[in-house]
Amino acid sequence: MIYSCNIESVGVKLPSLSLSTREIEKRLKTSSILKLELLTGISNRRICGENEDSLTLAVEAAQECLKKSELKADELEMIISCSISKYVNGLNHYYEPALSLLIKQKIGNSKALNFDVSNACAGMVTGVHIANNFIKQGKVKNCLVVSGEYISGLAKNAIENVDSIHHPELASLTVGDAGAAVILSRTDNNEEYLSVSEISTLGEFSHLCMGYQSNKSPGGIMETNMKKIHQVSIKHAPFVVDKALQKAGLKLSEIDYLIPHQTAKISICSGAKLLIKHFKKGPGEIVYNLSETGNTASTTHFATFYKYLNEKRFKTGDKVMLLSFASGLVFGVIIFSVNGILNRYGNNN
Amino acid sequence: MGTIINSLAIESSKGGDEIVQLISNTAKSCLRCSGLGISSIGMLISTGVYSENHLKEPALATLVHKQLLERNGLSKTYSEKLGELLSFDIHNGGGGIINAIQVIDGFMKSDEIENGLIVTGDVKPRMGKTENYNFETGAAAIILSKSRDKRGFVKFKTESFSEFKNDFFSSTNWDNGSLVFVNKQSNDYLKKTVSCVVKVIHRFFEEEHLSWDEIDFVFTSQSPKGFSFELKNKLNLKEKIIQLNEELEIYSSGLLFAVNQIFNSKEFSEAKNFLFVTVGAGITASLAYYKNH
Repeated sequence: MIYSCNIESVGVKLPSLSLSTREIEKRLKTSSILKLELLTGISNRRICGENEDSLTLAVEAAQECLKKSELKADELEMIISCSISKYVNGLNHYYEPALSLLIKQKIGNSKALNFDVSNACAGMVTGVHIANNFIKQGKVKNCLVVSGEYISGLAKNAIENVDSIHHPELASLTVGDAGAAVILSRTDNNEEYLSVSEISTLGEFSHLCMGYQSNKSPGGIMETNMKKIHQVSIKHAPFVVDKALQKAGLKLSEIDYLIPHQTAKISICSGAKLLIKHFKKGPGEIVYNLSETGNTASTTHFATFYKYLNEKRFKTGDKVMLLSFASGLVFGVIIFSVNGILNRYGNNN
Repeated sequence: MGTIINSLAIESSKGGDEIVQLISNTAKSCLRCSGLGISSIGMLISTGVYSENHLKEPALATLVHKQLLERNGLSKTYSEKLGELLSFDIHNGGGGIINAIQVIDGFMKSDEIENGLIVTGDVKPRMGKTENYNFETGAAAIILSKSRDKRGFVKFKTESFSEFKNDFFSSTNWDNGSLVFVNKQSNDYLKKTVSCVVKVIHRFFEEEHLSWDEIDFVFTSQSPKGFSFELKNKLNLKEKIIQLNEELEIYSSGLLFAVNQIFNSKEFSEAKNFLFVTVGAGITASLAYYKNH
């Protein structure tokens, strides 16, 4: 028997401190990088303070998600942690035990199947793809997909290293910290299920963005060939979106909200133009949510979805598309309708 | 319809390797043995834990994916086949491999893929200082394929015992102002892992109405050191359990090293049922039951 799966609740945790793009520009050792805020659309990003890290962000996002959920922590049957950064107690990267195990224990669950998934910024989308498969087949009734990204260390290191607009660490200046969590659950409601989850990898481009531990200072280093990644993403985006739409039996114009990976304003705008040109007519809205949080890696889509839920932007039956581009190079699309979830966020139309 | 083992390859080394190259070589051998090309693989999962440079992104599997495309001369044309292969990593210490098998089994049962490739391996971190890293350098790859009958992996069980989460952990730190990677294991970690695994096996047998008479071979993790020997004694498994050198501690690829010991033998092909057992930090114990006929 094949079951349907829906997005039952979402939670987000933003850390306590804030860092402005102007402040970053001031700290750079070069004056050749101008108008960073104008190009990226990022005015501020949230950054971890004392006692905040990947684990605390993930746990607090999961707790927020559970507050809005009909499920209790111990009813969760599966927990997938999708963080790229696994920093616990400051910038100590935990390899083992799995972060999902620590999250499971902190939220008060003892029985769920847990493991970590790592797929760069497509981590949560990959987690949702796996959870959807497990739920559809009846292996589990629900799953918490969660991520805590403490990645502002990348920006801190990049500030020290970036010396020109062409430096490979330039993209690190856009990142911010955040935690996000989503509970997927079995549903009998035909109007609110997750209709498409498509994800694939163009491995030949996996070297275009590499992140690893810095050996000079705490935190990571991320080197990106931004120009090439952008070209490849732009070239393939219409095919990825087209394939997912065909599977869903929809046109792009029937999507009410398209939430792309939140990288930089200039990238989102050029991607949007291309999609509209390819499909003749665009979606209702291409969502842009960079201004106050920056690029929050694997949490970006659900952090944006959560913001729109709380701002009561959706109406019953709206179709949402999450479009993911990530190092790897990973392309992912998730399409779902919003219905029952709206009531839990105070939106009764 | 089941998920069967199509081919298997392992590679060990004396060290100094780069993780991507080591794992990719093993994956290439595995593909060669199966007669399949990379374009026949629908999902590629890496479950390796340790790399020389503490790689964080992209997923290690995507870098292996690139190497496999280049081997086939597909790197320039593969874009046309977009959507046919998804690569990512699953991390769950020594038990990630069974989680990966379970994920691939799910996508096969839902008819989304025909073949899945799992790669795994570990090399000693060489960035900064590394303390207490005693694992052998090794890698393994396994191709799982869809069968039209009921053979293959049929049941899975994973349980964690988070009260023992501090008994084995590994992390980087900057406590003294420079990068140090530390691996810590309590003195009675081995005893605790055996005790947890025995509990999970008993519960699994009860839930699935299984008995030891139905199991021909048991394949286990090769970490902590001496695990398979202790488990053998505790459960009186005698020749059922496949053992490697007691002095070797092979990490995430240890389970596949054990399977490889008899994979191409008559004993393997004639055996009816196998039990796969992994244990790792957490403490997390995972089991997979495989019907060979």
